[in-house]
Amino acid sequence: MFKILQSNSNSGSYILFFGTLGMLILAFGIVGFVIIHQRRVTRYQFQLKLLEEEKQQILLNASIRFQEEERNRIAADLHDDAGPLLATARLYLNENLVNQEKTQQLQSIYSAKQIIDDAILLIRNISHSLMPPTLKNFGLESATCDLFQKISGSGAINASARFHDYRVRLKVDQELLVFRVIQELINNILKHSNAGFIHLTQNSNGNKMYLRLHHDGVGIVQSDFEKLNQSALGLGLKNIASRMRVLRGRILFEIDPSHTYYKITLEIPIDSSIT
Amino acid sequence: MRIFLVVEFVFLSTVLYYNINKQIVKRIIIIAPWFFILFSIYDFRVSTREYFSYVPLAVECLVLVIYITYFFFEKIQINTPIPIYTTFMFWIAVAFIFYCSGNFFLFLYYNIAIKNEQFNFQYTLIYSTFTILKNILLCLGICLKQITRVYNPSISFNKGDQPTYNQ
Repeated sequence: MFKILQSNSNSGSYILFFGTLGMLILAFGIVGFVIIHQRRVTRYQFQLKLLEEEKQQILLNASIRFQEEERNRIAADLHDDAGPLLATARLYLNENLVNQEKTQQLQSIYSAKQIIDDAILLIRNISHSLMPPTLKNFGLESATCDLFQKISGSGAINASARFHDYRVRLKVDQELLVFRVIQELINNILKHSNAGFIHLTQNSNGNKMYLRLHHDGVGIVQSDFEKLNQSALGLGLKNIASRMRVLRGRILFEIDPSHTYYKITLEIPIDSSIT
Repeated sequence: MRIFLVVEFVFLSTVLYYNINKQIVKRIIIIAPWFFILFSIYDFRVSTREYFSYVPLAVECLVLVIYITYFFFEKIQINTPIPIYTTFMFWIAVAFIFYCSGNFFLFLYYNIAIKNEQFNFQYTLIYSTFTILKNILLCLGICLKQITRVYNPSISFNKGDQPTYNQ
């Protein structure tokens, strides 16, 4: 009887010891897990923040570089084309003009007029390249169709654009951003893809507008786009990414399952657009 | 003693009620003390008057461990840049989870082994250790609260551009 009591007491002690130990391990485990988990999450968030900052820096640099390139291009256009034209016109209209014969005077004035007309046309072209008048006056649809017609008209490539549902227009600044993205994409396709055709279609679904570009050349897929976006290369692509970010839209680079053509889809929210 | 037990449970439940966000759990925390009071009354009626019954204490410990585990579960779901161990509530929760989990089996076995001298020694040792640990952790929490109050002033520039400090 005594032995039974003693064995019961011993087993009770064991249960107490191991039970308390188990509960303590559980408590330590919970507290430790909470601390370790939170530290991991904090570290992960910190790394994400760093990556995001790095990405922002790359985009900012790209934007600055793009602006500088654009300024250089305009400066070169003005300096190399408009400058000599106006200088030549000035030569025709020099002080000796009054001492010349009337026919010579008329000839000089006519030549100067021709050169000034050329200069006006040149400045107009530069101005149009900065802000296409069709886009400003008639909207994205007309400007895009106009652009595609011009490309197709060159005979180098077959280009067509079709807007299926563009009753709700985007805001002017949004249209300009979308147009610039399309221009940049087409520029890339013309430069790098060696494509035979480019086709653009537009559609709307709910509060989103979709623009899809197809081409049969050598293109890129989403992973390439993201890789180029992270690297120092691909200035144009970075501009596209930053413009899409301003638009709060998305861009998706895909290849057709049959590997015959590439697709680029732009998804643009139209909740804040004008009718 | 039983009244103290109920008050303690209600007090700790209230503290956790204000630190848990999920509505359904909050409702459980409101309802649970009523069941606990009923259980304590029942236990008082059925237990012998010779010794204090430790079963409600064990139940309280178990419920508090569950509450605190849930409290931690909620905390790991919220992303905050402030480390959890720098918060006052964390140390309060740690103090009670250690105290409750350390003493749970002790309270559960108390009524069975009360006459055993070896158990009495173990009881004193374990109970004292966890009570001291709990008190240290509570002190740490309170000190941390004081430190964050003093060194974390909220600066407001509304009143004549003069920073004001929360004391």
